[in-house]
Amino acid sequence: MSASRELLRNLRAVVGREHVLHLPEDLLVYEIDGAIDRALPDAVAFPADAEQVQGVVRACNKLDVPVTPRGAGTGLSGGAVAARRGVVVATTRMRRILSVDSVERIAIVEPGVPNIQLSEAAAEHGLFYAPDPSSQKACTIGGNVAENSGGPHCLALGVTTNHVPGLEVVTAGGEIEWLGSHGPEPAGYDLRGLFVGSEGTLGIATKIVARLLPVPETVVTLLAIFEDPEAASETVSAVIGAGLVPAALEMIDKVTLQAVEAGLGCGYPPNAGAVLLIELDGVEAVVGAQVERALAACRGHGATEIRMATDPADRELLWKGRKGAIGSLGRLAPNYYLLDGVVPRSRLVETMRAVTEIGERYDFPVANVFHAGDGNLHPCLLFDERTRGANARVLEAGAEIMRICVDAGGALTGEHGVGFEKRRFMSWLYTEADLENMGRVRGVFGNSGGFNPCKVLPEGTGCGEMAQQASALAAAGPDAYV
Amino acid sequence: MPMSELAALAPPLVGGSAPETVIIPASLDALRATVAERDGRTLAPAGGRTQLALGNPPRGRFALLDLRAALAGEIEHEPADLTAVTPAGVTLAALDARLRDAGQRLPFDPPHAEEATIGGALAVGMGGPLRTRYGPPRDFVLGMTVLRADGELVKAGGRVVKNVTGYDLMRLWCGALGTLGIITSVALRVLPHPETTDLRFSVASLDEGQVLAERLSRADLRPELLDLMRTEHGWDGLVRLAVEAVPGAEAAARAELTACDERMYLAARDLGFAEGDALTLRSSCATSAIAATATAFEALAPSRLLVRPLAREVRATWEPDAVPEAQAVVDATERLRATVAESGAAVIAERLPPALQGVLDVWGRPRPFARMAAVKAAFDPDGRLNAGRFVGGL
Repeated sequence: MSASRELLRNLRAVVGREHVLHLPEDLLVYEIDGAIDRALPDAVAFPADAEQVQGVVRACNKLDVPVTPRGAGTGLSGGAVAARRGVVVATTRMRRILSVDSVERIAIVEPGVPNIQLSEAAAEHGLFYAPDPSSQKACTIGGNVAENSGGPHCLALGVTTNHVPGLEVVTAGGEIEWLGSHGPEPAGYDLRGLFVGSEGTLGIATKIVARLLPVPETVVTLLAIFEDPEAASETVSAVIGAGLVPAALEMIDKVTLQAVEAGLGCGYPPNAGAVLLIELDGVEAVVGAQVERALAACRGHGATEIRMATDPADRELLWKGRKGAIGSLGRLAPNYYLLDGVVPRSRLVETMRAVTEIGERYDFPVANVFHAGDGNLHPCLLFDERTRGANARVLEAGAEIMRICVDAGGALTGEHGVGFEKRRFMSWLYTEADLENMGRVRGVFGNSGGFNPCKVLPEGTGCGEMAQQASALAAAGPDAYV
Repeated sequence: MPMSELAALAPPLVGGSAPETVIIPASLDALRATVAERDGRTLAPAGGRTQLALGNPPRGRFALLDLRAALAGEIEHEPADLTAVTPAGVTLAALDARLRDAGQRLPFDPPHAEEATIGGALAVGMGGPLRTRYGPPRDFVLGMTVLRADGELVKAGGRVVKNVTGYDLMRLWCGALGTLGIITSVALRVLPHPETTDLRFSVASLDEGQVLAERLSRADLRPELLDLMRTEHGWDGLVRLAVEAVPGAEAAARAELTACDERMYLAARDLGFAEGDALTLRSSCATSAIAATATAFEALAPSRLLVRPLAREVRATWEPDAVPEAQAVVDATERLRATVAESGAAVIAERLPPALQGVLDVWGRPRPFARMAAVKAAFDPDGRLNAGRFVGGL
């Protein structure tokens, strides 16, 4: 099925002829996001403002055509894939920073603004926007809102929902509404809190209020080197046990370190068993005391070397390898499958062992780079899709790893979202009654099933075109991130 | 006091109105059965009974549903994970004692935190002084189990500190005043208990106090709390800082900071909720609207006035003989609501004397109201739980 003439005519009437794509060759770019599932939409519309978004949503609803919102397409759970075809609504043209208010410490931005641009605009006022997904150069604030994105610096400061007090949305039913506020605590139900992280199933954010924080006076980044991942994990526990909640606490394993050094050459020790990145910030006196405690924890748990960076350029170098880690894995294998499990921090060591065991059993090397401070694992299975049966097996191995996380008392996703990818595993965590109860919020926002279909919740049919996902495993390139 | 004795006392008023009876289910199963019944009454769930005065009176016949016996139980604290899972009927004091044993805490200090239960306090959603640093209480909720109005137990979230698996219903349940379901169990993120010091200061004007707050904040001193209370001659300030941050604070504040005991903190935390506080208004407003809001309250000569500048809150309270004429309160509140509405701010009447009950709208009319009504209809279509008590009579 391709876009009906009526649909195309209506979409063009709303956004203009040049802002609608419908030819198969133009649509190819929009069949996949940063994950592995793919499906070709019938059309892509590029609205310029909330009214046009509303017009597109209403045009689709009227003809019963599925709608799938899309930001930069860096998502890692298939959330932006048009699972039942229909129209992809891309926020690409909505990329203005409308205001930065240093008194209220908020910025108001359109959804298509890349995360990094918001931080840059805030920096002019001595402020910053806290959530920093590794894809921040590309990913959009609108997409961050949909996925409730995190990032390495979310350990102390929280994820997107903690930093977005309000937003204007076009609901799935086609209404324009403001949810939340410009900062103050509004009365009534927290619809804002429900909308953020709803993975684009309740509507499309068209204006976003972002909370900004003062840039820390002092920032110290430590890179601690260990002979094995167990020692690094124990250090994580020791740091938390010492009463510290660092701004960031990240681990990189040996496989990843080798790829990073070969690819980026940022001075990481390629023969180490694991490294920890620990960042502390605040006023100098407080940070100084915290650094001492962190150093003691590292030394007490077998760190063979500790590097410390205080000036921005040196810190950036220490971070460069972390943020570019997943991209570097392309040097080790043609393909990888990136997971996003969460376990209680105290179960990190045993979970990593189990992950390694699963990798060995399936014969896939596993690279690990993750947010150790909050138990958010990102095992990355390395494979070659040209090997017969590799795609199916890598998905099977991934499912086993997710099961391990759930059995350890954890969750299916810490920051990438359930999307299309993990919805079939939702019943591991929730009963049918839980899922039915969650599903009620869709009706509240006027989504009767056609708005970003086949995402988050396992129920529903009609996603047959996605069934070939196993055979359509994509070669994720160096532009993927965690 | 044993539950049997509590039941014998005259039942407390809910939103100013007397319940027909008090029901005290002894177990979760009994609670489920009670809620699932349809006896033509609505149920007003109650934890520690510290905020029964909040809200409109329930619509029609209603019973007070005392949850403490049904939702009692053991706290599971995992210090290494910085998490705790607790039955909702546990008091914040009991929770705090348990966490403190391991050097941790939940940075959530609503009024009368000693008696309040964790479930009730989250349902009310009212923060305390610690909001300044730690934000609203719902930011610490990792997962919840809730008893829906039809007797079904449903959960959302989990017990790990980072989790985006499924819809974040916890945010709906927090601050919903029990109108969408009864919170039965809560998984929480907790934090190390830092070593802090309380310091007081005096400023001549609110403006001066706000400037000082901004300086401390800009200097990245991260005050745990910063409250300003009106006195006869000016404003008394209270700030809580990490011990290591104290030396730098005086320079940054450009003011004299002196040590003080816990009384000032408790006065600020419970301001507006003492036995004798008849009328309490709280505005959550933009930073730039704080001064005008405080002035509007001051024009009504409150008994006490509190500004929490970095959390953007202003609260005023009137003792019975200080309560202004009803129309003056209504006019001032509605004027203020109209002024601050643009930024999504709220003015909530947290306590009302009889003369103002039914006269002053407790919540104002938050937007988008139709969507909020749809939420209520989706989870409690029959109005079994707290019908009429919340915003717009939901």
